Amino acid sequence: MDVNTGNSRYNEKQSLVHSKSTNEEKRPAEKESSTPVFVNYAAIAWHESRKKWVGDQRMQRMAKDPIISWSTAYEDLLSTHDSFPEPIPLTEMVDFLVDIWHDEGLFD
Amino acid sequence: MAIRPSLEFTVSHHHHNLLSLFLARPHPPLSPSHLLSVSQSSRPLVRRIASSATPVPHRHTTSHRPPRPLHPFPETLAQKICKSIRRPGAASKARIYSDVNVIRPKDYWDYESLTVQWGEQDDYEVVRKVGRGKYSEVFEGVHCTDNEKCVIKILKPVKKKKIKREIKILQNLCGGPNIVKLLDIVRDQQSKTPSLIFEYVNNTDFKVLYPTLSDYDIRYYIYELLKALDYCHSQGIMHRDVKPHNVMIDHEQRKLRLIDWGLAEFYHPEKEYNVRVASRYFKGPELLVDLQDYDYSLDLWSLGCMFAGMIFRKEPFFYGHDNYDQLVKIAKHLAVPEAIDFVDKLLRYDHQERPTAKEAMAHPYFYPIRNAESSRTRTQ
Repeated sequence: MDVNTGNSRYNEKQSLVHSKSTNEEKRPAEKESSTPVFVNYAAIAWHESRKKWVGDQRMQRMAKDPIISWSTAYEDLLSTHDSFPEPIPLTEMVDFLVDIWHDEGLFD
Repeated sequence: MAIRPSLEFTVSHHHHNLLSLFLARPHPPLSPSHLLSVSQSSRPLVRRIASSATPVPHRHTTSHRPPRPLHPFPETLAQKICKSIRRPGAASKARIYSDVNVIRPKDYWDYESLTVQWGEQDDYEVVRKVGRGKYSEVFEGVHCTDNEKCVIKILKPVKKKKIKREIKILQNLCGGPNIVKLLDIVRDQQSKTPSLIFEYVNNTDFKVLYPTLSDYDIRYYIYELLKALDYCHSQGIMHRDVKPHNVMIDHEQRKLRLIDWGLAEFYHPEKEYNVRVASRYFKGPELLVDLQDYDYSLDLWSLGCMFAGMIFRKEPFFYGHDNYDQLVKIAKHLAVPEAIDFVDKLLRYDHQERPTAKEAMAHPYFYPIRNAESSRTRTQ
């Protein structure tokens, strides 16, 4: 199988299906210029899909009690792949890890 | 350093022609045509390993003096410790997609000038840990505003530059086949710890999944992985860390995603890259001999290791104990195609095509035996 041929066929298909999600060099009309103009369609698509993912709702920051106890060690919480008893706010998990990384000297 | 002599043993005795035989003539079970490019592009490299490590003719002519290299210039420390050496003007360049980043504007590949707009960290919760890497802790998470599942990669403190590179690459590859989707980027206000939010993939651990895959499944997933690789290469990007851990497979949906773009880099012809990339068992020989102007073809070596591990049910396929031993394991493996060729010749449906016992004994597979035999008869 010829990989290169497969690829160009793939790109054609891509551009038919979702026309501008992937990057291709586009030649402008011949009269303007002969150098290809590059448009980063992938980056544009990324920004659009991020906006869609994020949505327009915001979480209200509620003053909740922390879920991770002050005495919890890394192994207590993160030695298994089992679900936590309840979801932990990302911010709290980051705080927890940052303390550990500090102790490990990763911030030096 | 005591390193070189044993490489000489492995490579020079088992040789040049053996190496080039393996590399030039790919073998049926080892070589779907995609892997062909691996063999072809690494051929000169392994020759270089062989030639820099083996002053073969000298061995015969100057039997009691230490062998001198064939190179016109004196042996450097680099050669002694198995570093690749290169004559001026003989730089290595990718055979395909070499000028993507030459043609595209600076803005496409200049990741250092990326400005990141951070999202809301408070919009996410973590549900369970799914993995841990050298540079991150990875969780299954939830986007609280709509209860959507996601994967959250909390990055350990590293240079800003590295974070920007990963983000820029994921943005540039957005929409590509089987490339994991980056959904959001958030940052902790106090510690400035970034977290990358990705699409959720219901992965089965490869150690559990791979042994259950059929021949067809393996072909299918390797093909899907090749789509991702061809795509990122076509966009001027090498992944540099292809391995089972970085290939998420949702077997029920037959969905594959190439993840962890943290070591990925933009390819610029003749640029010298850090060879401390990829994980040991998946490092190409080019990395192990310190060849810095490597390219996309590195990813095909790693894929080859992964593929061989899958079809021979041996994980990891090349099991070196350190970087040097890794090179030895690779070089030693080069004998295997002879064995396959031999089996292939014996197992012919048409009995008249099979070799006679005498012919079979003449097969290269038995060279070491015959060499040992003949040296024994000589000393008798």
